[in-house]
Amino acid sequence: MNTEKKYLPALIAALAAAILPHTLQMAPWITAWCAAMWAYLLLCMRTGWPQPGRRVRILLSVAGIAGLVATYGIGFGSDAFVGLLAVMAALKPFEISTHRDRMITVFIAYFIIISSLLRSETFAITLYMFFSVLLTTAALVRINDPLGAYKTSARRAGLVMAQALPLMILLFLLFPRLEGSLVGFSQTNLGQTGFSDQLSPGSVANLVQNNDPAFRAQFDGPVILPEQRYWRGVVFSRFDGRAWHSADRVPKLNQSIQGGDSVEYTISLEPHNQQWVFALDLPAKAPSRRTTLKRDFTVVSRRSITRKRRYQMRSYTRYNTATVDYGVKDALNLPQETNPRARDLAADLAENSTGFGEIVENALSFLRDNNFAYTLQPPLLGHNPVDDFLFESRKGYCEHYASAFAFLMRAAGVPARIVGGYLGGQVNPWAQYLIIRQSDAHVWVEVWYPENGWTRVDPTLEVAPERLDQGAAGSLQPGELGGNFARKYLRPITSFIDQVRLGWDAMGLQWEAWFSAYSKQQQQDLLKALGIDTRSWKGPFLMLLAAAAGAAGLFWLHARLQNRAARKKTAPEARYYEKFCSKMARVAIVRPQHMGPLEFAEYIAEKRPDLEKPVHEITRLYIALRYRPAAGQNTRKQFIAKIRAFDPAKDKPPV
Amino acid sequence: MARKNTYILPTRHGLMFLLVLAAMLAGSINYNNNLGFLLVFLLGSMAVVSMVHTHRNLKGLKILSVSARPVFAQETAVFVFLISPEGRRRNALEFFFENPGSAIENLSPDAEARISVRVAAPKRGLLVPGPLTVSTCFPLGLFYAWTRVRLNCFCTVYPNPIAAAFEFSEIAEGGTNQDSAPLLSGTDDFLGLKVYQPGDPVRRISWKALSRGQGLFTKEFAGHGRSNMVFDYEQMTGPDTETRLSQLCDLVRRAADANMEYGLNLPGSFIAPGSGRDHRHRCLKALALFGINQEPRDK
Repeated sequence: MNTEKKYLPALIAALAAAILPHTLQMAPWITAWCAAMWAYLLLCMRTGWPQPGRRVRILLSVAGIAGLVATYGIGFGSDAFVGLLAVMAALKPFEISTHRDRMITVFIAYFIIISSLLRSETFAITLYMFFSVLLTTAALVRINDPLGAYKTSARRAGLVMAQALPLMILLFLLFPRLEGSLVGFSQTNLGQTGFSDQLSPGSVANLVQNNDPAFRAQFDGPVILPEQRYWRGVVFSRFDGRAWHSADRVPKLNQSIQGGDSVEYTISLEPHNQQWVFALDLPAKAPSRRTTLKRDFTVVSRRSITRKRRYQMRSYTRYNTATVDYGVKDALNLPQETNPRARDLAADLAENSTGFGEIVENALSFLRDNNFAYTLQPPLLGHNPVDDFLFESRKGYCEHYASAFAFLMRAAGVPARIVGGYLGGQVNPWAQYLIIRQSDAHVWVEVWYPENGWTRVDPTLEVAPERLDQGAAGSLQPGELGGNFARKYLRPITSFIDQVRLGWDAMGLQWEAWFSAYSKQQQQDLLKALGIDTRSWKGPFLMLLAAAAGAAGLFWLHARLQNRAARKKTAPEARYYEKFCSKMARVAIVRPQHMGPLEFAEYIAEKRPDLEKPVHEITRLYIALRYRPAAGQNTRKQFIAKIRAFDPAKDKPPV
Repeated sequence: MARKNTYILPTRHGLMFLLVLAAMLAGSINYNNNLGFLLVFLLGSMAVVSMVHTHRNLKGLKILSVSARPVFAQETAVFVFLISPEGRRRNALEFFFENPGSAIENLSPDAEARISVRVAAPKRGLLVPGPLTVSTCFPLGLFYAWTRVRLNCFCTVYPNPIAAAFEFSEIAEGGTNQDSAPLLSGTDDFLGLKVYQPGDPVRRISWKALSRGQGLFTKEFAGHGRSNMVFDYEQMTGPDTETRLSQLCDLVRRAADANMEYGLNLPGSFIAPGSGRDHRHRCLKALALFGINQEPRDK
């Protein structure tokens, strides 16, 4: 019981802090399980209740693992791994009777901390990591200092951490980075939201309810105008009668496109577990070697994006893609025998218009003039969804408009496809960048003109023009998104909270810009600035040398500072006595090494009887300070004052 | 005292920690996770810093003095060290000799500390403990620093007292009968008065002299009597030397407890009767070292 009292609270606090960031993604029963075990243990400590024996502990472990299998199945993903760590962490404090067990408990806590970092790299998590490490290290100090108190353990842990920081930064900057993965596995699905590779009724409407950021865009110049904020992600070019699909294999674009008004910006993309990389319409180049610019002008990453990524991008806001006729033929394909009324309408449009441009114009007027309405809760559509939408319900969301419009175009002989992405973005007033949220998800249509190539047409704007600058929420009827009432009356408070959140967001992005983005490239740039070329054989060697020299320098500095601090701390009286001795030395009375203070005083008195009184006084105070532990601050002050005032050179000895 | 050699090595847990760090590093490399790198480097740097802390926790420590009070065989000798922390706070220092039994201490920066290290004392004689080891794993338990100090110290171990085959009271009473007191020798003739010394038995104070106003005097007797005995090795009943020494030891102890005057007659040495703490120690030490060619090494 004794060891528990001493160590248990510290160990449980460390484990709990380590688990906390996981609780959002973990199955709720695991959190409850941990809380229950720890609460029971802490209660045991207070009340002296019986602790479970070995058999009960084994039973509990089996139950925990059975629970994990029931939750996550046999396949061992990262969620299951974290679950296993948590279940272990919940049971481990039952057995901390040996030092070894306690050490292992602390190591488990460190391991849980790193597993939470692999999921998220935000600024907040970084701060939390330091807090959590401090707590865990305090527990580690605690178990290695059986006589100490919590406060001193925490202080020592803080000291060790603080002293480790310079070396940590050095290692972080200089440790060689690789591109890509070491082992060929990557993280499993974390259930992020975003676009999928097919567009079916309701798929975008679902996104609009979600206020999570999809990505952020920082511009090298001023933030672009609202009507330019079309973020291209997926192209849906195949229609099966109900849903639109993205093409499987689109070749790489190996020619440059003509464009104007190029915009340079950096995107910091949240993980969405797909390969799309969003870019302002129309991307001019692929941002990195890990990504490809395809012939449908989408940018695709080689791997699914499971972690935050930052990309330097360049896009044209004015462009002509007539040279790239990829997919034009397929952009006329429609499944047979569906939506007959829409086909009739399309035939009408084609007959009464000359040229593609007029067909598009007429189709848009049809949407404008027939009482279409914009809503997130459209009625269900039947077997011929385009017909039902165009002629019956006339209520829908961007995917309905885009889908119907593209169908009409194809039926009328105009090559058309749907582009999925985001429209808009919130300007962060603190740092002038755009936050694009899932709720900005949008789809629009591209039609092919032989002279201009693929050209954007947004049929939704015909029905809800305010979608362009007010976002999806602004285009809806009152009451369609929950909480409108509250939103209206709590305006001052919510706007203040918004400001704080945007400030925090800006800080996080700044952090990301120089921390999360630090990679091989940045490292090379940094080293090059220091005059080290990593591409030659000397690079790594010099890097190691620099690291070693840096570490040695830090140690040296550390030792010096510590020594000085120790000297200051030990005995101020000794230093002042030395000062006194050097004052005596100035008048040619040097204290021989073997002489104690009393003897020295006599020696002085012999040579300089005029100094007898002050020297005697100083010596008396010194001895009191040095050898009587009870001597107080007052004595010390007196002593120091006396030495300061002491000046043997002032009064010349009587000759 | 001089201490040049402070050694430091990772503990088993330190190596385990290294393994955990390696796994973490592999994970960070695999996911190319900068925050993971940051944590690994933080923990690694902390381990390095903790090595310095561990070393400094031990370095510069001074042992000012060692002492050990004599014990009887089969008791535990306690060596008391006066340690000066030399102006630094010291945590979780462990002091031990090769035998099991250790002391763990924290020293505050400006007070000298008294530390007791226990050693089993199975046999009479001089107990010279092996080198003293001072060690520490503080603060993180990842490194073990230690230093070994050879000390010129010893503990006198008296023989284990064994009751002789007779009651001590018998001897005391038998003392009056000269012939039937085989264990005792000497006379009880009055020798004279000497100036009273603290510790002299009260019943031998010369009240006559005091009443005459001459001051405090103690009557001195020579030879035998209930308060003046010499314990003789040859008279002991024990079958072997050790038992006899043990019996003598018991007698001395009890005589001293009863505040009597006693002497010791061992083959080859004689201790004249006397009393007091020093006398007791002299007698018991003679018993402890009897037949042992071991002198404390004084350098």
